[in-house]
Amino acid sequence: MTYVFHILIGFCMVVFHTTVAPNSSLFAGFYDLLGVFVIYLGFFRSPREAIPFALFFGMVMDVFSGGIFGLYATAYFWLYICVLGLTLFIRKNNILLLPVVVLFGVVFENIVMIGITALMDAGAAIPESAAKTVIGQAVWAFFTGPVLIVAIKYVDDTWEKFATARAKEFA
Amino acid sequence: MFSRKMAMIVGAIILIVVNVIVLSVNSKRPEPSTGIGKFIIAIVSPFQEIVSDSTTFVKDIWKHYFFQVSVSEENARLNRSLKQVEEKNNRLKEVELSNERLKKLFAFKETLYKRVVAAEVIGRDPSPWYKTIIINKGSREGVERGMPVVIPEGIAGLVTDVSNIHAKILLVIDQNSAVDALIQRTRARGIVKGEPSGRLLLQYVQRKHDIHVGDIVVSSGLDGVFPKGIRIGYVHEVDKPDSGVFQQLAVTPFGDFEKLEEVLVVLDPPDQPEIQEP
Repeated sequence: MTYVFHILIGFCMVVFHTTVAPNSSLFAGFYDLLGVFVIYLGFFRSPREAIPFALFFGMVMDVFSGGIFGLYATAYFWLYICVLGLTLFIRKNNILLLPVVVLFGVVFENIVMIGITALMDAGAAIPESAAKTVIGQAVWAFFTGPVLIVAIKYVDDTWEKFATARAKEFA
Repeated sequence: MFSRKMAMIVGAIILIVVNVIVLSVNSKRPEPSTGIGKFIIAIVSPFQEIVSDSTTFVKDIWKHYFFQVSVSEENARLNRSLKQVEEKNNRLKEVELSNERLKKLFAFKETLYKRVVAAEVIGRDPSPWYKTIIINKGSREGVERGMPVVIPEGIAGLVTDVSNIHAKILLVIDQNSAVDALIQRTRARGIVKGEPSGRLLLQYVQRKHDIHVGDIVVSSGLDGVFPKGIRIGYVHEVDKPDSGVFQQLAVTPFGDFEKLEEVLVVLDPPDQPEIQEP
């Protein structure tokens, strides 16, 4: 049930990113919501739930993107590994650290993507406006990312309680 | 024998190596996945279409009913007719130039498109670094991978992935895109490449050609993908180095790819024209 719920959230985020955000001036330059969801999974969910999600939705994003196939999957996978590594040194429930972690995550994801593109995509160039784009995304992420993570955690916990209760009822 | 730390380091190195190999293999392939792409586009695109239609519906209500109803409609009509006139003018210019060359050359082959299918844009690239779109027409309507996509202002892009009812288009402004092109006035040839900034670069144009800012760039048809004579953009900067064989031209596309809503997929591929020296 949790997998299905996460897949639903993931699909909503993909649709948002490919239809709503590009057509809205408000969300122009918005950061990757799925990246933030991967950060959430790294913080609060097990690798068994997080890794398939990161790889699957990485591939979904790769299908809709013009970059090398596997670019998003790579970025999400290593973002997850980094967040997992971070959780060894910081307390998971420290909400005050969330803005910094989200900021780091968004910048890391962009660096991975730009880096791989520059190294492997023949003829590709790093855009002049790359720094501006990344800074814009980082600012958005710093202020709204933690709110998104807290909201996802709340919805996820509520869903899990509901699913467990239903399972008990049927049992 | 191995400590836990050592095993983790070795594991991470193996993962990185595997990752690099997979990405290298994928970067060498000219076109993306077939099966996975088709499957994912088929699943996600209907939702994109619903959301896209809903947003367009809300936008249209806002635009046409609450604000300046008549002005907006009149403006849209005039814009449409202006684009048609521009396109017609461009075609006439092309025909005129073609006629001049016809007098000199016997083996001339006109390569304009005949059969097209109109499609709506329902999705866009999630990444700010690439430029692709998803349209609501697929193999059911005859769309195939490699077909050219145009708009009234000129070339839009190329079909790179197709599902039954949707297709993915690599826009001409994407950095992976390349179109064989001509300067309309001088007939100088070059390759138009996309830039991450959303502009275009006309490369491999010989230095001997005298090209001015404002010159129109059209497709040459020599790549065997895009029909000949379709507008791409206009030159806005000429970079002519003191030495070297080629000059480089910055080109501004005619189409506004940020506001792209409808496109035409050309179903008849152009005949492969013979290479002619300008």
